Amino acid sequence: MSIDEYNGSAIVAMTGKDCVAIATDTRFGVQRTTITTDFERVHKMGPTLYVAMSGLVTDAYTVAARLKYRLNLYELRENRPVNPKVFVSMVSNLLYERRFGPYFSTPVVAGLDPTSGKPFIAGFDCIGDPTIGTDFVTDGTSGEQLMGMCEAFWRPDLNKDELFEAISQSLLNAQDRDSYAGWGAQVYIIEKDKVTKKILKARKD
Amino acid sequence: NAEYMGGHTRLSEGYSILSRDVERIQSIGKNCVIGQAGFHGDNQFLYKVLQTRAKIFEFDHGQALDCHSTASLLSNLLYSRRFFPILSYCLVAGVEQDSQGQWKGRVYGYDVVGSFESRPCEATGEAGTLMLPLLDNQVEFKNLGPNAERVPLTRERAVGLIQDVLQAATERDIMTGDFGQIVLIDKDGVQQRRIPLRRD
Repeated sequence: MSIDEYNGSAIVAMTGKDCVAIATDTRFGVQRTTITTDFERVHKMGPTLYVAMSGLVTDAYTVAARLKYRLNLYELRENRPVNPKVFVSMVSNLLYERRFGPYFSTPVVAGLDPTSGKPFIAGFDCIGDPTIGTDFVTDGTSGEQLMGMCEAFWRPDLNKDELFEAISQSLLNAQDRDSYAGWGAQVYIIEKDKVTKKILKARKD
Repeated sequence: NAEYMGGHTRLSEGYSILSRDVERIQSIGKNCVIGQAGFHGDNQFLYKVLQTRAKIFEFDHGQALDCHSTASLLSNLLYSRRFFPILSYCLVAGVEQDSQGQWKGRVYGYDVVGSFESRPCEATGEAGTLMLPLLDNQVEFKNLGPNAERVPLTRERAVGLIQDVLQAATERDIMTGDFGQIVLIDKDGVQQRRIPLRRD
């Protein structure tokens, strides 16, 4: 049993035309036991910047809280919302500080550049190596399943409805093939002027 | 009334490619094929044993093995090595006649010790986890809303789906690529097609 598989998760972020989407499952479990089925993995970091954490939940909480702390200080000093590229550096730095005793949690960032509105997604490993994605980023115990699904469903310049369908179908079918993820799904569609959160019904097993 | 199986033709060891042209799907009898993932040495050995047993069956009984019998035989062969397994992740696919004489397609998936199950679709191997959820969605129509169109699986669509699935796996799995071998099985026998895949 790997520490990455202790809690289980399914996380995916996808880019569209002037929009991004980030979606997660909502199972919180301890190995085979499911504790809650409405667990929020996505955290808001800015008006159009969201981060979802996979992996060990205790570390996910800690990293999210520490990140928000650093982000708040940044926004107080700079008096503007953070740029996603800068945020990625912030995440990377936070995780690499623990290079030889890492947080067992990997974030996925999804957002729009506050000035240009360009879509932005990124994934990391647990010690902070960033991968800025051009199409999609997947993470969690269902990561491989999500890769296959996203590869088939994603295409460039999806509008927000097509993006929603693509990311939802990718997530639902991938998490159904992973016993550690599932029990519901949350999808955030992030556009320049609004963010829509949709809660999907999924297989409850 | 038909079955389709796809596989790739790259043989790799670690980060090296040993061959770009290894056929992983082979025939057993007229209407049945076996596709094998896992350890290549054991795959070859297992196929030889299975072929020989199929021949013996034909000599003993005067008729060829049909699909579910091949599936059963494979299960027993794998279980006979329960405590030193044959590291072969098999898929058996074929068409067989049911009690009304209708030809039905079947796919059987296995683990290394012979546990098997007939399913509408199955995927195995290193990139199996990448392909399987897509097949669930497109073949079994899982997670589609009530108003979503459920496109029936015709020959063209099935072959197209296998191509898509192999391409998706090739993109994201380093061990998959070079060529895709697609096999179509119906009551008249087995046809093979080959598609190019990314060679990186």
